[in-house]
Amino acid sequence: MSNCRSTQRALPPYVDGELEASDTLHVDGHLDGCLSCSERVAFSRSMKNALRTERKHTVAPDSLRARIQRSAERTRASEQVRRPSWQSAIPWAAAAAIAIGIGGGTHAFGSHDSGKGGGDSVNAAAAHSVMLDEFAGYHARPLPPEELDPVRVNSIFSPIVGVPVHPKNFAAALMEGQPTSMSKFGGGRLMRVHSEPAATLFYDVDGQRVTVFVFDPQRIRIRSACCLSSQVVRSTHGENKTILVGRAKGYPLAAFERDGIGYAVSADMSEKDVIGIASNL
Amino acid sequence: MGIFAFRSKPKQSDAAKEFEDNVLTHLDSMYAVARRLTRDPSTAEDLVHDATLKALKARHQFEPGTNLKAWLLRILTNTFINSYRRGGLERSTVENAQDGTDPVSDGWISAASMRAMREPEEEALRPVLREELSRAVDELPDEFRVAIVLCDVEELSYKEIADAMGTPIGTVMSRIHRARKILQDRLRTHAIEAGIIEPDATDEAHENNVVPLAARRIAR
Ligand SMILES: [Zn+2]
Repeated sequence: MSNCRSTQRALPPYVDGELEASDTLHVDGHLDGCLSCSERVAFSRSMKNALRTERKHTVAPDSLRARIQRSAERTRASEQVRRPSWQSAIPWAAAAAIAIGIGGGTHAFGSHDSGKGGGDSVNAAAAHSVMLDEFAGYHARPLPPEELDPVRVNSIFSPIVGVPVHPKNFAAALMEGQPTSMSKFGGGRLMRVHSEPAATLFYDVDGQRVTVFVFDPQRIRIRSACCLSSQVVRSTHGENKTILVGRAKGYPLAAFERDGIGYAVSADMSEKDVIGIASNL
Repeated sequence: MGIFAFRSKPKQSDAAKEFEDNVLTHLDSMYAVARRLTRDPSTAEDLVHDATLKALKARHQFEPGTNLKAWLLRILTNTFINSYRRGGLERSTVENAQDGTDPVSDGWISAASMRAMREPEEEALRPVLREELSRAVDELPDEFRVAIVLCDVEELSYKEIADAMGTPIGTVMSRIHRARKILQDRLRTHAIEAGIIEPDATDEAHENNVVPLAARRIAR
């Protein structure tokens, strides 16, 4: 009976073709002499077959194909014209306080080398959906910046956060790939994520809000945040980078680690664009 | 706005069109999965449309030589989870309720009953049960439904499903396993109601599976 029991544990991956070759042989051997387990396999397969058969009878309507082709054509014809995404329905007004606060601000930025060094490999993992909610929440409902001067943001925030914070570098990186776009630093603020400090930097990129978080990944363990999927992306410099991507509070969030520093980005943009930003930071 | 669109060169439009053609060969798969996920034809069309456009815009992120269908279904799943549901894939009460318990202990079905629910000599369910299975899949909690649809309907690997759902492979396996248990239970109940099978004898069930977990550990 214990043989049946251990076999039954292996049956789902067996039926799905996910078992190692040696284990498959082992199960095959057992099935030869066990009617009960064989019947389980046959039943599981008949369920799979039923779903599979139904799928074969599902055909996408021609109208859908045509609609996609039209949209794709439009996108190709004009890279500048973009269908309004549902994210942008969330009003910019929420950030009006900050936009006004930016005021005389800081337009000219030196393009420091932002240290685009070796991409840290980050694993997708489990637990703490709260973390994702906190980051996205700070983008969704921003508080006014504490400090507008990027140099002072650096000198005041870096010791508290425990890693260097360089607002200017990001302002330059945000324009990566499109020299015509405007990127403005709108000030920074310290936030607590899981009660650990994170520098929160506000940017305005062509009228859309971008929030960049800088933190110590030892203190804010983004790798263990739940609901993030890991994606390998290529920056415009051709560098591969592993980025954790998720969504909360209606906003996409992309996070990664590099050289012992944690970064997260959220924006009034599509997930793809946020990943694009993260890949170039 | 396209600021973060990767630099486009004139020659890329041909490549973009070719990629689009490749993507559209998987349209039926995407639509079938979308129908299962959204449970509504017109929502399914919107989902496929949005996901396909995302895929076309992200074509530079696709690694040639890897499974395009799996990549597309990952985008489709992500779009569904992120945009067509509020708040992502929450853990359902079903999943929570079964944590720490042995899912095998419920809804045990005898070999004879399983045989009776199939067409004789075939690995196919009886027609009346196929319809019930379809309904039962629709009623699965989202995270179970996504897993079972990607696994059984589109035959993605566990790894590909894990990537699509943004969860570890172990979670995928447990969701598939539990989803099948729920579906089997539904089929069994329906088969009993339809007079196809008799309720399984409890002593047989007890002997095989329903021994309390603690007792089973001792017996081992
Ligand atoms: Zn057996």
